[in-house]
Amino acid sequence: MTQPEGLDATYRHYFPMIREKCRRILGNAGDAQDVAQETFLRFWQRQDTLRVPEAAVAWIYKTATHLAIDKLRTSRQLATLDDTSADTSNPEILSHARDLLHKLAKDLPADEMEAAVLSRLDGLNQQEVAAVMGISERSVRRVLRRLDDRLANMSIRYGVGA
Amino acid sequence: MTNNQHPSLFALDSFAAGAATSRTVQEHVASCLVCQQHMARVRPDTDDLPAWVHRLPALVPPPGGQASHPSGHSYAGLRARLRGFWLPVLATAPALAIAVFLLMRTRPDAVREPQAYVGIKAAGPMVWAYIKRGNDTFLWDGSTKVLPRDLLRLKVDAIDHKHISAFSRDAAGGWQRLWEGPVGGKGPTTLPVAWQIDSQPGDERILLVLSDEAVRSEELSDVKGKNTNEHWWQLELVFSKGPAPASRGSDDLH
Repeated sequence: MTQPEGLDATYRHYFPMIREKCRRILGNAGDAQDVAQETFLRFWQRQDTLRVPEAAVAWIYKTATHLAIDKLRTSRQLATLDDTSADTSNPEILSHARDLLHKLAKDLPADEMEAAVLSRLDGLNQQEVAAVMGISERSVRRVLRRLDDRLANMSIRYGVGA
Repeated sequence: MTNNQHPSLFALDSFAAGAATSRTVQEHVASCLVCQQHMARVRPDTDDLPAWVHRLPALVPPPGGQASHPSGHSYAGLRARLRGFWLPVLATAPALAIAVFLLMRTRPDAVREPQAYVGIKAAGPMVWAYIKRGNDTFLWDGSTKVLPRDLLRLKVDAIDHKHISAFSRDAAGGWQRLWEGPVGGKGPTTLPVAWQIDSQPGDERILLVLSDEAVRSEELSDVKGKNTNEHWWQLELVFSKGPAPASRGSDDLH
């Protein structure tokens, strides 16, 4: 299956996914919409090179994650969490994980933050994280191990796992 | 994945996007209400396209495409990017409310000068002006009239300059400092303030100055005479103002 043709079809096909992805990370619906629009704009510019759905979704996950992390890092204060968009069977866990990510956004190295979002928040397995991040599964394991060590040292426990 | 585990959201989203999906995932989704709910949230949208999507072809062409001004004029050389919407921040961060300044009334008899509004000078700085009107936000095209209660925000790519200053015209024809601060690292900097358009007649004028250090007050009296160079860059933005809408909601900031 190839990508939908045209702006109208591309928007309808991919934007809901992008919006949900951003909501999971940012919680705040307004910030999520902001980042989702930016992600879609970049996707629209790159659409010719993302004709295959698998590649398109991986690209969206990577780009939306990066932009959302940037948003978190530049936020002057923690976002107002809005759990109305929580799409997990356990909204409390999602909220906890997201709140923790917000607190860690300014301190975690970029690769650990990206891995944390993909693995802990989106629930990707290591193979999927590797595909999205464009690194080997071995590297993913190393990053996640480093992340867990760091969190342990910070005496912070994650409440959600893949 | 076991029967008790959900597929990752990445797997579900790939499935929703039409990617090849394993039978295991498909069977799980068919029997799992939670995953079906997620699939429903990411299924293709059938609502009308929002205004910002309609503007994309004019602002950001797809590869190989040619951007065009909404009114039909070429956007050659304009690397406008529709991004960095700030309205949610304004809506949710009371602390920022104090940063919303009323634009000073400008001289009604001010002469409009033909000049770039949002632009690029060779490889020089770039400026984007965003207008928030009600629930809609758009990149200013240089000619659209602003309306009372619109919110205006600027994004600046200062290139090598270190400092950004923004001024508005005061009643005496001078410049009043609206905001100044250091450039926030590489790439575009979105100014952390927004200005609300007042209902006074006349154009709104904002002078944007990029410099190596803060602009001294005495420099403001002669900004028109200063030449752009590697240490100083300025751009005057002139926003024509339209009449106040007959009826506007009271929740513009939300």
